[in-house]
Amino acid sequence: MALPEILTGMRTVFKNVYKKKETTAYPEVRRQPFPRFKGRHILDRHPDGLEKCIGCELCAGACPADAILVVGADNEPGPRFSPGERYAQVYQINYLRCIFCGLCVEACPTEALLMTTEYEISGPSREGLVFTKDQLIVDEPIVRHWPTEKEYPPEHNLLKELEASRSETDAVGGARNAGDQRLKSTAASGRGGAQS
Amino acid sequence: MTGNGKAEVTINGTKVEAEPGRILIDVAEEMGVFVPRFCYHPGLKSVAVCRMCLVQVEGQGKLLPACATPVADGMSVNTVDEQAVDAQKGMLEFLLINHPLDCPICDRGGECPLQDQTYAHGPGSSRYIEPKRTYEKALEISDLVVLDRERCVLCWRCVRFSDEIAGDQFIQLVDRGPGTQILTFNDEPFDSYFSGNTIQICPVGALTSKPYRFVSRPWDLKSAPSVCAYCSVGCPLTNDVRRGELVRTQALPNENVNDFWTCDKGRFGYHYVSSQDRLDTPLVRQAEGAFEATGWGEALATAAEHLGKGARVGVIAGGHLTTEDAYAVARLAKTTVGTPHVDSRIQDEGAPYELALRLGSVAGSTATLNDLAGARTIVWVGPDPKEVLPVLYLRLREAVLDHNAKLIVVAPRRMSLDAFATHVVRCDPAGEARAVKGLVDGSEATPAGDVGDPLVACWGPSSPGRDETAVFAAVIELAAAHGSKLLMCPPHAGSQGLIDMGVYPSLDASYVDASTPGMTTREMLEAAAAGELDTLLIVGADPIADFPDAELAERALAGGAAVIVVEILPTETVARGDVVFPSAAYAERDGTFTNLERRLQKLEPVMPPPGSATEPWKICARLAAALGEDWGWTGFDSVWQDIKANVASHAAIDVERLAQRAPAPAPFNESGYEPGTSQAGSAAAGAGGTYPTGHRSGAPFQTGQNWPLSWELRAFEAKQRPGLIPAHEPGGRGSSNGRGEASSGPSPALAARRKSGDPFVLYTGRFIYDEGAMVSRTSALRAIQKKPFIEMHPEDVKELGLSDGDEAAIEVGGAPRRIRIVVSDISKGAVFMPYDQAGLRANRLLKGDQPTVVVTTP
Ligand code: SF4
Ligand code: SF4
Ligand code: SF4
Ligand code: SF4
Ligand code: FES
Repeated sequence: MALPEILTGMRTVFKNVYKKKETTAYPEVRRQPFPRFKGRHILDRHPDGLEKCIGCELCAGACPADAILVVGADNEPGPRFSPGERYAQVYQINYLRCIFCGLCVEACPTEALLMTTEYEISGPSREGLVFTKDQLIVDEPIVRHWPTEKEYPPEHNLLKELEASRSETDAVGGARNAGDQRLKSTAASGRGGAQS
Repeated sequence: MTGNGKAEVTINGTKVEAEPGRILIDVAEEMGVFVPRFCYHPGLKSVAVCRMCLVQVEGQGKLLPACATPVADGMSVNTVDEQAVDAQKGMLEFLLINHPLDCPICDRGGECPLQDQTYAHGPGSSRYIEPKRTYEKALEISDLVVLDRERCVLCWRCVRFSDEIAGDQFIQLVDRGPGTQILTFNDEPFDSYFSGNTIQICPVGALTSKPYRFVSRPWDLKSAPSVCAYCSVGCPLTNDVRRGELVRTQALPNENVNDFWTCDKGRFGYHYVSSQDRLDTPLVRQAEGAFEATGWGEALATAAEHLGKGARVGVIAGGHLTTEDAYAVARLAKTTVGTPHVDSRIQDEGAPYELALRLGSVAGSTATLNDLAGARTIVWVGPDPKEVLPVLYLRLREAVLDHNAKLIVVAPRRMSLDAFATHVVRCDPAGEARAVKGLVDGSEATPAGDVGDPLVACWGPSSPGRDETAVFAAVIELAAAHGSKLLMCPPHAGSQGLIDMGVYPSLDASYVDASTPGMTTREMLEAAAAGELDTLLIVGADPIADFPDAELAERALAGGAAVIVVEILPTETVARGDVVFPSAAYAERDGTFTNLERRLQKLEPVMPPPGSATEPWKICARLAAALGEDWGWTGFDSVWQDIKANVASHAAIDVERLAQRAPAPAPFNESGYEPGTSQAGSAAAGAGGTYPTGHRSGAPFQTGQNWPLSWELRAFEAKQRPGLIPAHEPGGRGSSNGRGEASSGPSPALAARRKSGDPFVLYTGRFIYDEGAMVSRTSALRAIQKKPFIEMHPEDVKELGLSDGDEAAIEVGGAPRRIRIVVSDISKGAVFMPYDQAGLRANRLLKGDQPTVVVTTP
């Protein structure tokens, strides 16, 4: 009576037993994530080297896991950190809490906060998994995402500037990968805070 | 018109009754219809400049501003009419044309009426893509306020506040047309004692706080309502905490007390709470003389040993204790230890508060702050309220300018009230009593004829160290002669509560005469210095800094008596203690403060105290336990059970209501709102709902017509926290105890007595920002503290061959010192010196009954 059901069930079992395996022998084999995979964050810089992050805490406010801590401060006269009045004096992401939802990246008004495809985030201590600003901020600006034509009216001359800079960035090419690459190498050579 | 003389108005289809002539925006708000606004503020007069509140009124061709339209019978209003909504949208689009939209770095972002109303009522997008008008950003217009003119929406609120409420027009709109901007004059600083209020009422981030600049965002903050711990006005506040640190305080409106305002001391003087040097563990002095941090057990045992000496123990309590602490101190001293020597008057040492009993059944005010507005005459005899009771100054100003009260000021020196007083009676530093008597019988050159009823007589101790008996007795005589009310102004947030609970040598709790009157603070210090006391228990007081004879205080603490101190900060008194207990500060604790009108207002803790610090009442209960008496106190409620059982004047206090445990939910809530229930009504009903722990936690997050603004919700909360004044009866019991009749008769004028070359009579008084342990820990307030000076009569200055602003030489404790002279309206032969100046404490000069100071040419 129940035979058809049993056969249907067993068919599923056998189908999967002989299917190509998805699992890899990590860490010997490292899988390449999809380009839009949401991994560890970085903080970007402007082309002139100033920090894009203005310490606004919107990322912290958006975070459903309460993983981000930002403490703002005034850019004192003299060498400044960011272009405006405010910069992030403290910037921390707690990877014990982060659920990699990316809401922080969406909330960021300056596109300072980005997510890389790096997924190897583990460490021997709790403190080490709280990444601080010096671990998150990149040394060189990372070139990515420009506004689409939809976002600006075609007659607006800003678009032309953008087009111009876009062709420049194309020439630079692969900068983003370079950034990821660099992050990877830092990670491999002992991730500062993770051991501390 | 309905039978009861009220106008019947229809708002969005719902009929309501309202007093004819009330402002439409208020009436709508009370029934839960929120009309968007920028320039309207309930504490200020309407100017209708922002045009955000346009509504449709039936029969009117044009839209009317709800903030300037009085309601009339039969009026039919539509606030969500298509035309009105269109106008509101249009206004917002206009306001945003030049707005920099830098919300991400704006301190107002997240609690900004412009943001909120743009979401709720705005068009959603702007058609304006041209360059915006720009100004220099982040102008520091004082040490406390930062101005960003780009963000300003020209609502005039700050200007109107400075003009109408504070009366100091430091901030104005300048220029015309698109260049109109807010500025201070000629780059003068925004030097107001009330500047912080403009930050709170500015509906955008144009005026922001410098101490709070970029410290936090509103969504990081944990907030709780509390009461200012400085002066006896007792302004309700919200304390905002981020990551365990107190980072901001703001005014919580209470129309009975502070309206919507605080002074800058109350608003910015919070840094001491999170200061690094807070005491956080009990300290016991070891045999070799050094302090050692110990556990509570050892410290309590050592203290109990010293306290078990009965009447050879003296207890001095300071003015920043809550009512519960006061009860605990009184019970510990008078019952457990068994000593009558208890006093709470330090800086106001010897102030004869018990004389108030001649007038009513309480040793305190019979008037409330609201009575000031209804008075025809107000007589002020006391310190400069702008310096020591700043928000009371605002209330007095309001009574005179808005309610046409006549203000008669009796004072030996020029003070802030003179600017709007009807009469100023200038007298000698000891001649106030004579001048006040003149008001009663018409003798002397006093405007007795102008004294009309109802009258409110105000008195507060003004010059520390002076015998105020004659002055206060004269004020009481005046009040009695007119059957008027008395506003008695003790100096600190907790002063009145301490009197009420019997931390007073001649009174027990509930103003009952003490069976054995104890020693006053001065007598205790003298006894300790002479070795007649074995132990001094000092709770929240620093006699060395505050007592009007620093030398005596030092001798007393250096004498043989063991000194037990309960404190929050390491004061000079703590340094001389033998056992020190760490106390919780106001933001870290439960409790109530009793203000100068005897109003009890509740504090809520918002952060834990440092280390093992705890409330003074708990420390008292632990000391009692160490002495073998278990009070069985577990918390606020059980302390109040005890108070209600033992303090007759407070037996009827409704603790549930005081603690606001069951108020109604917020009214600006589309779903939960029932038309017709006013806020006041729902507060009284008090059922259901939970009290929002922070002002944001109760906010229904939804767009639509009735979205609450952050500050509106705060105002709503406050309306539910009016505080309670314990009932009292009129009718005094005549002169009772302690100090006798006002003995000092009229004294001859000072100028006649003083011969050239004699020392000057020293008269002192507190200023708003001084070297006090609490306020001086806010660096911004320390920076704007006045540089040391003395005030003198112009002729005296001339006699010395000096002029205004010159330096004179004075002698302090045998050592010469230079000090700036300010020529002022003060009687000849007298010198006024602020009490607690940087590097110069007037109490070093105060000795004996007639303190004097020698002033010479340097
Ligand atoms: S990815 Fe999500 S959880 Fe992680 S920090 Fe950002 S907002 Fe928080
Ligand atoms: S990363 Fe972006 S959202 Fe976060 S503080 Fe910096 S600027 Fe603001
Ligand atoms: S500074 Fe603020 S309060 Fe003053 S006019 Fe501008 S927006 Fe209004
Ligand atoms: S007036 Fe007094 S109670 Fe009010 S804020 Fe100022 S110091 Fe505090
Ligand atoms: S709120 Fe009515 S015009 Fe500004």
